[in-house]
Amino acid sequence: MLIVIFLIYPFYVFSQQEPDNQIQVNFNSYFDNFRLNVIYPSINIVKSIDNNTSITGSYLVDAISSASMKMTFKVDGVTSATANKQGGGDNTPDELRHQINLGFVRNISGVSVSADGMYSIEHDYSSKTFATNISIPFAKKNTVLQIGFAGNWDKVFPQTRFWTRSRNTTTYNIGMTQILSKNIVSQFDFSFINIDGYMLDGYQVVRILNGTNLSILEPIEPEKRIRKALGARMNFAVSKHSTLLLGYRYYWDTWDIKSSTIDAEYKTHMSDYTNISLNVRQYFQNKAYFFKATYTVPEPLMAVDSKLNSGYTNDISVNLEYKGNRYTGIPIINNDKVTFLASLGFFHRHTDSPDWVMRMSELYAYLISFGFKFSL
Amino acid sequence: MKYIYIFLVLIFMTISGCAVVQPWERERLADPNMMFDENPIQKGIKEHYINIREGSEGGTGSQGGGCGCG
Repeated sequence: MLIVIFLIYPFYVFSQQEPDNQIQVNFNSYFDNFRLNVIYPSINIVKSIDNNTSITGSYLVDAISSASMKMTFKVDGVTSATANKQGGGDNTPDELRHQINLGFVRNISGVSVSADGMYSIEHDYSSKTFATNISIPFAKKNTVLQIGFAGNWDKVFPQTRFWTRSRNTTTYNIGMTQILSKNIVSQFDFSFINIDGYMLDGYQVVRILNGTNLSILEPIEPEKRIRKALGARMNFAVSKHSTLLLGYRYYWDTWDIKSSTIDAEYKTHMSDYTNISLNVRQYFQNKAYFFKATYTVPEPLMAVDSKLNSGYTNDISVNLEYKGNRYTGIPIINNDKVTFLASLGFFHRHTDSPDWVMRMSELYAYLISFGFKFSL
Repeated sequence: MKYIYIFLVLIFMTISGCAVVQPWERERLADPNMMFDENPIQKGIKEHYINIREGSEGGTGSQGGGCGCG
């Protein structure tokens, strides 16, 4: 269920440029020390139907396996995402999620307009998204203004409850990409996200120990949240073959979470066919005003979700792109329509109090992705 | 609200400080590495795991940049 949250940003939403005709296939995996394993292959297609219009489509599957919390509910407490009522605890997939996207990008007198629809379904959650974006160039295309909107309608129906709840999200985005010189380009971005409805996990519980009496209650969170974020990025051509991107984002919301994110990415062409990038990211946040590490009495608002806790994260990844070419002499790789993709990432999250299920404050995750792009 | 003002001032300073770069002067800008989010699918994969582990969302920008020809 949690995986759905990112879906208000479908792959081609807020895209400025008309992409090339291509198929991209990725095989992605995630493993962490909370014993959560996710494998999520995806296929994406972009196809021009005339000189000014491209259609886009994608299909993604999440296969999730995890340890069972083996406690209050016989479902998976780590991911909150198992269809198996006996709980997880093995290495077989406990849950499958399917997602499909369809959209188009059209160029109208230099102005790029795109629209995208998405549907996602799993055993306890469904989600529909519509998103649209317009990119308007100015000043001999030195400046591009981007305006985006996304509507997201979710249904939550946990295995352990007898109800269905809704969550509706609207996202407004305005950004500007500005060429500053022959070697520098910048981008500014503002997002406004309004969420109404049920924002809880559905499986999490609050434990209140009063003497020897243990009470287990459902968390209670506000049913409205307004989230805002400002981002700025600059990309510098530092040499003939290399670029350096520096970015900063400030985020704040009505639950009193404030965060700062800094990131840097160095990219270089190691040869005519090989491109490598190194990305480093650091993130800090404070806690939501109603989040507590422990509750001793029932309160009007209670939360145990670690992402509402204060803490920080570190993220580092290496990405490699290799363009096929006829000089290699190796079958498959000698096709110049194919580009091979690989990435390796490490993610660390520290929370200022232990997670509600695993009772750990440090999360270490490893991400491996392989794929290819094929030009049509 | 003050953050929005700061943001607008930053934009104004940025725009006012730059000269128009002509299309024939954009050789380095045309490098795919100069694009923001050149591969939006890779970006989606990354946000896939980050957004469920952090309390923030949005403000991550959009695809663009490069030679500005888009």
